[in-house]
Amino acid sequence: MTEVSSVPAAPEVSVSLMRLMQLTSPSLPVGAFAYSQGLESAVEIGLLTDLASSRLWIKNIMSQGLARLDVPIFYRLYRAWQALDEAELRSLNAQIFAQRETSELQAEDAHMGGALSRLLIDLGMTEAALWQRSEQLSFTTMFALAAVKWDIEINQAATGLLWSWLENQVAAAIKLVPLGQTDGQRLIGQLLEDIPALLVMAQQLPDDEIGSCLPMLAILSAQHETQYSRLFRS
Amino acid sequence: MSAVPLETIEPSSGWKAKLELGYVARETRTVLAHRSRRGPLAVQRAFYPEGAVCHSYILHPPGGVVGGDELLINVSVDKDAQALLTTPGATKFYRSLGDKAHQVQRFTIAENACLEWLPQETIFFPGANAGLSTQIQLHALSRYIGWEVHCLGRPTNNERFESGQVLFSTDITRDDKPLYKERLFINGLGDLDALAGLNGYPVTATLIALPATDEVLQLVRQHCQNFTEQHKADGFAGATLLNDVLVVRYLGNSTELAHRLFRNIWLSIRPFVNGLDAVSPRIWST
Repeated sequence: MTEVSSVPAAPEVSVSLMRLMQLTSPSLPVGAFAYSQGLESAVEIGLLTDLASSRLWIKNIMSQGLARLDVPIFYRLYRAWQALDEAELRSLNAQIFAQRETSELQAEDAHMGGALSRLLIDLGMTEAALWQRSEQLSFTTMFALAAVKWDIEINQAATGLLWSWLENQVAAAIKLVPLGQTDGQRLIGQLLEDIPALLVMAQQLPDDEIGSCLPMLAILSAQHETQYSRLFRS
Repeated sequence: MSAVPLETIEPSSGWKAKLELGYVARETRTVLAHRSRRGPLAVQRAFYPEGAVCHSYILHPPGGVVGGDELLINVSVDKDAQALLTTPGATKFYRSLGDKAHQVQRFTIAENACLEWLPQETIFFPGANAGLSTQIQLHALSRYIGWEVHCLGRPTNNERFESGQVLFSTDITRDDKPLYKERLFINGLGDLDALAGLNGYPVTATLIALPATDEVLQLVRQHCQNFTEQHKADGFAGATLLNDVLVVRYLGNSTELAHRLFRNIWLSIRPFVNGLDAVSPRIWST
C-alpha cells in the first residue's frame, strides 16, 4: 500500500457537532423566543431585579427542574428512539406532559414539539410522523429523535438541550429584567459550568425519582396566564 | 374487619400500619363495605351528614410519625360510590435518628365514583426524614377533589426545616396513562430558599379537582386573586386547568390560610365537580 503522506490530512471536522449547533441554534424555527417560562411573571412581581437574582432563578430551575425531569427523560427517549421502541416513546412523552405545571407550560411544549416535528418530517425524518396530528408531542421527544438521526452523541445532545434552554432563558432575562448584553454573556458563562455535574446527576436518577416540582414557578406561571400586559407566551 | 393486636408489632422496626377501605354504592347510599387494618391506623364509624355520601374520619392514634414508621392507606371507591375522607388532626413527622418514615396513600376511583380527600395538614419537624406518596388511579369517568397542606419546620416556633429531608410524590393516572405527576425533594436550606421553589416559605399546598371546566377555573381564579390581595404578605396562590384537571397551589406562611383558601374553593366548586352542594365536615367548625 502506498502512503500519501504528502497530501495534508483533512482536519477532523465533525458533522455531528455541526448538526448539534444547528439543533441548538436560536434560529431553529420552533418559536422558543416567545416563551419565558415564568420569568416574565417573576419580573412582574419584583422577584427578579438584577443579575444576581436572575442567576439564582435560572440556576434553580435548571438544577431542580430540567436536570430532574427533562434531562433524565431525554436520556431514556434517546435510547428509545435508537431501539424504535414505540410504546416506551409514547410513555415517556406522556410523562413529560403529566409533569408540566400549568396549561401555558403544557401548551408551550406542545407548540414547540409540534413545530420541531413538522420541521423534522420536512427534513426527511419520517419517524417524527409516528404520532397522530391530534396528539401532543414534547419538544424533548423530537429533540431526541433529531439527535439520534444526526448521530449526535447522547451526552453531547443532553448538553445541547440544557444549553439551548439556558441561552433562551438568558435572552428573556436580557429583555425583561432587563440585563445588559455583556451581563447576559456573563450569566451564560457562569451557569453553563453547572451543566456537566447536572448531567451526571440526571443520568443517575432512578425512574421513580424522575420529576420535579417548583411551587413558586408553578404559581407565577399560573398567574401569567391572566397577566394583563405581557410580551411572552409563558 | 381484621385487626392485628398492637402488641404483636415490633416497635424497634417502627410502626408498620396499614388501613384498607372499600366503599360500595348501595341503593340509597354509599357504605364502607370493606375495611381491614394493621397497626395504629383506624377509621371511625361512617356517618351521613348529607344523605348518600359516606363521610369517614381516618385516625392515627399515635399522632406522630418517627423514622422507620410506615403508614399505608389504600382506599377504593367502587362504581357509582361517593366517599369523603378527612382527618381530625395534623399528622406530625418527628426528627429522625436516621431511618426514613413513609406514608403512602393509594386511591382507586371507579367509573362514576367520587372521592374527596380533605385532610388536615402534615407537619415536618426539623430533622425529619420522610417520603410521602399519593397515588391515584382513575377511570375515564371518575371524580376527585383532594388537597394536601404541608408545613416544613414549625414556623410558629421559628424553627426552620434546616436539616432532614422529605420527598413528596404525586402520581395520578387515568385509564393507566399518566395524567398528573410531581416530585418535590427538600434537602436543606438551599431547597427552602430556592427562588422558583419554596422561595423561603414553609407552607406548600395543592388542591386538585377533576373533571373541571373553564367555568370552574374562572371561579377559582377569582378566589385566588381575592386571597392574594387580602394576604399579600402571607404568600401566593394560583390556579390552572390542565385539560380537565384543576390545580390550585398555595405557597406561604400559614397552614390556616391555606385551609381557609381551599375550603372556600371547595365550597364553591363542589357542585360543578360532583353535582353536590358542599356540606362542611363538622370537624372543621371545632
